[in-house]
Amino acid sequence: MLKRFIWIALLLPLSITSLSAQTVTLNGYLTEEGSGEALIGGTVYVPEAEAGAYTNEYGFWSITIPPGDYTVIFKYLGYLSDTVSISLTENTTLDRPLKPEGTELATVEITAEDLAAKEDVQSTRMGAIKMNMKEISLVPVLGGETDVLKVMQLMPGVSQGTEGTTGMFVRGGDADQNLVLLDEAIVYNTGHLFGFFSVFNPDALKDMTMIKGAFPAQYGGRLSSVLDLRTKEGNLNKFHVKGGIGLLSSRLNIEGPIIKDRLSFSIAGRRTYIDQVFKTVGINIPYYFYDLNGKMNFKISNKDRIYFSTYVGDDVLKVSEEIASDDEQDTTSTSTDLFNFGFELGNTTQTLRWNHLFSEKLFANFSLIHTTFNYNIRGSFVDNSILITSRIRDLGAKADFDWFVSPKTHVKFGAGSIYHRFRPNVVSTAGEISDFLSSQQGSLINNQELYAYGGVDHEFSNRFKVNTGLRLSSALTVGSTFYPGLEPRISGRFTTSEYSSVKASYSRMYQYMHRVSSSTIALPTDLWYPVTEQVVPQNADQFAVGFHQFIPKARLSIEIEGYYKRLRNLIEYREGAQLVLNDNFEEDLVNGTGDSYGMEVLLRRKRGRLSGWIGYTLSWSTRQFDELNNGQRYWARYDRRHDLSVVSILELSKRISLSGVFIYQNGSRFTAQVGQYFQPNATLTGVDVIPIYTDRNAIRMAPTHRLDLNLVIKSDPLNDNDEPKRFKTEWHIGAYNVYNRASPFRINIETTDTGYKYTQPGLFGLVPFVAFNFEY
Amino acid sequence: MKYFLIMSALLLTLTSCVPDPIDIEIEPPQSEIVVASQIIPGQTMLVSLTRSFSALSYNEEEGDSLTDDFLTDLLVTRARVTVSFAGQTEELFHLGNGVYGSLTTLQIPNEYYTLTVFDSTNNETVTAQTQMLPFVPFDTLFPVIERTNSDTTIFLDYTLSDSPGDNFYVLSVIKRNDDTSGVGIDLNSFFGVGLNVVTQTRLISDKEFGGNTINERFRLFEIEPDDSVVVTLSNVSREYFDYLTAQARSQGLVSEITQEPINRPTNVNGGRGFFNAYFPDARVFDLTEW
Repeated sequence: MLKRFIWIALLLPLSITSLSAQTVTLNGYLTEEGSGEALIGGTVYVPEAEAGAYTNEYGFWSITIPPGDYTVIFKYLGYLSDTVSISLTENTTLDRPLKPEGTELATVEITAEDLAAKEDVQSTRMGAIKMNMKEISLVPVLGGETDVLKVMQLMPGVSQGTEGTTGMFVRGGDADQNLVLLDEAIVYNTGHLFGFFSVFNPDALKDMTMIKGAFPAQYGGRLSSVLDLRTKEGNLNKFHVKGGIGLLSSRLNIEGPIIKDRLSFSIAGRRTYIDQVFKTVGINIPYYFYDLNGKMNFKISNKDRIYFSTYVGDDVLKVSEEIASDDEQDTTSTSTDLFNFGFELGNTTQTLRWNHLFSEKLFANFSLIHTTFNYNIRGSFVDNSILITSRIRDLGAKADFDWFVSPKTHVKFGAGSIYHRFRPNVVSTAGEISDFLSSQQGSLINNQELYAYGGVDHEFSNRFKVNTGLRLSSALTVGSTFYPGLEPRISGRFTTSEYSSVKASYSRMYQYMHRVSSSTIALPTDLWYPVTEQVVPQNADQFAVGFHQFIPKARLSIEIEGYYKRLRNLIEYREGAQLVLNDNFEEDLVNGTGDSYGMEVLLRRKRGRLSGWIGYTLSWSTRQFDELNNGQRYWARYDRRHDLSVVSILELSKRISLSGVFIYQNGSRFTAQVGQYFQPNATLTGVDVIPIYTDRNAIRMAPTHRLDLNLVIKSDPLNDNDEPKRFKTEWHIGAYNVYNRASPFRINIETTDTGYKYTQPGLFGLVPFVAFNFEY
Repeated sequence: MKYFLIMSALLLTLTSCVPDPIDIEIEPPQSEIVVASQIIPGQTMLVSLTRSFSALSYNEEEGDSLTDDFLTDLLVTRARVTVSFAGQTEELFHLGNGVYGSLTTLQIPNEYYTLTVFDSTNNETVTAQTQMLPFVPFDTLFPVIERTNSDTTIFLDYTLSDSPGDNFYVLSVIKRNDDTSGVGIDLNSFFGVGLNVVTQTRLISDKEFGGNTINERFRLFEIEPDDSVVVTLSNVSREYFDYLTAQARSQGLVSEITQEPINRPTNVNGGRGFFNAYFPDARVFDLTEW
């Protein structure tokens, strides 16, 4: 059965190519007018031939049709559409820029939205969320800091971890099962300050796609989701400055041409300044984080283009304090000793990409990728010092091909490799502290991932379209253990009307990396760990069915999807495991399985005076480990039965909009201490108080519900002469958690007048914010 | 890390109103019989019986002290306690404070002992079985005191003969603050910490040592050169060793925050705690003599 599937997948495009001999190819890039930024997922349509194409991740498109006279329509949501008449006699390249809509046109141009919605309905894609940065920036989030990950957590199927954190739990999966790519580079640590803020500076980003199921074959390596973030390429024609000043941080983005229309750059930076602000009033808060994004984009020729992008981000804590000496020899002494403590945690990524057009139909991208993730904890006092580090370094290379075989067939294929180098838990101590904690080199673990994939998207008829794919993945571990993975993918769409369709999909995913973390507390220092001889790869099968409908009159899209996911070889710490500085923690890891299933509903209105979405998820998620919970199946920590998000953006006028977010979700689960007993210690000289806990995750905490509001006031986009202003501003004024309700994250025992009681504290109450953004 | 946490908390306090926590009702677990046991070498087998209690009844972290009334409520004083071994059954008698003792020594190495407790008050029966492992004494044991101009460091050096197979030992160092308390157990204060302090407990698995002899020298903490210390060595079962290992790992602030919640292993069917039968070798040192 599987062999047959592979042969059909491989031969399908070839058989179709043979049918298309008398044709010519029309191709090109769809870009933004002015900046030259590629428009991803734009629509190119030739009505006379009933043929169309969507632009790929680099804005490239290609349509092969018989020679003749045609009208070519270009559309992209938020941009004015463009129509070109052309007489096609030979292969032709047609690069087109689209002009962004002005504010005055925002409610007029709806056909692009129609087409985008139609694409959602008619594609084989399921469980996918695509958002642009403009939409994201209007959603109120904690502290007024625009945050792509927090906005994603408002989508159905994506469950939030503890309040304030950027951990995502997609369709019952775990937080380490999300592949987060920034310009194709894996980002290991996606959060700052214990995950309260994501590491992605919104000013540097251009486009974001999240996939929860029906994974295309080009994606792999994680079980539950893919978050593909693309940064701005840099304006090829003019300099552009954008920035923002918030309560916690400020941002600045500068982009512009180095050689006009050929070579551009984009630099974006963000830094918190809470340390500097408090320093002025004499309070020392020696913590900050920063992010730097850079990108260069070089158009070598019409067929070749090179991009280089880089990201550097760190959390930095530096404490230096003088402490009175504890010198027993000299009690009259007033000398002091210097205490130093520091913490650094950060990612870097570098991606070098080369786009090459082998022919009018065959687009290729070659990438070299470098990623690091390090954390250092250092301290010194008198003669004692300690340094704890953990490092990951990845080197990757990949080749991806887009073959626009015909208007009805699109093939993607490619191959790649990632070389992982891990050194967890390196400890270096000196002085008396080394009696307690000895130096250790940490084990160096090298690991190689290899993969190849092929996928065909083919429209058999106007009603029936199928995407088939196969990914062959593998990992070679340090002990020469070889883990192969065969990952078939298939998704199909059957249209029931022009604006509605039924979809179904199946995908298998393998994951060769694990993040080992506690079930009770997630730390940025949680260890990423590759597969080894003892630690085997995780894998998952996911089945999904869905109904997609667009209602043009109401501009409303409706997506209803149901899924079932089976997770295997999940890892958890053994009960009572040592989590910190455990250099031999493989012995403390146990394997198990997980099941999750549920239904998601998404009602979304992308445009109009009132836009936004309502997302609802009904889901179940369980785990079973022989060594945990006495082998009994238990609920996953973030098993939330009901999860509702309402996001609305109301345009009060051309310059003022009010947005609100309301969420309601069942509480997450917790293993609470419910009893205790006394047990004499080993020498019977005293007793220990031994806690008694419930079954694992047996207690469901109180529901979380919250309202956030954001008022956006924009400056007048036109000057006195009704010409567009060069300098534009925006004020964001709002509040997070308007009615100050706790979102429980744990269960504590608190003292009362009469004894003790259980309480569920929350982290953030009402947090007002104000932010100022500008653009030049 | 601590500073980071404090700073984070400060940051959050400055930028937000802390919302009131939400109360939650959690059904307390049913009270269960808790077993503990001890062999007094050459004398008796002691079994203590208490009951588990709600997490809301007592909070050590809040500085709650153990009142006599509270302890009395926890003691199981009207149970029928028997120990079966080698085809015979011996009843243990209540000595006071929930502690039951045997009339005979009950010390047959490698023999299996089955404990049965019937609490007529609640019509509740619990059972447990353990193997009495052979007595293993220290071959050598002596403190080593290194004195420099600025510091004094105390080590303990020990040797013991390890028998074939997997063996597990518990070595405890007890600082004697009360010369009158002696070594071992005070029946009137089974749960009293007393003035003695367990400064170190060392869990020794013979897997970490090669050969038939285990020899180690380790540093003593919280012990001064003029202290008197008791050092005990017990040959314990794998199950009890795992139990103590889990207990040791749970100590310390970092462990309390980050460790996986764990219900301690037990060999008591229908109850909690641990029924074991080992007899320690105990040695007393007055460090001023070294």
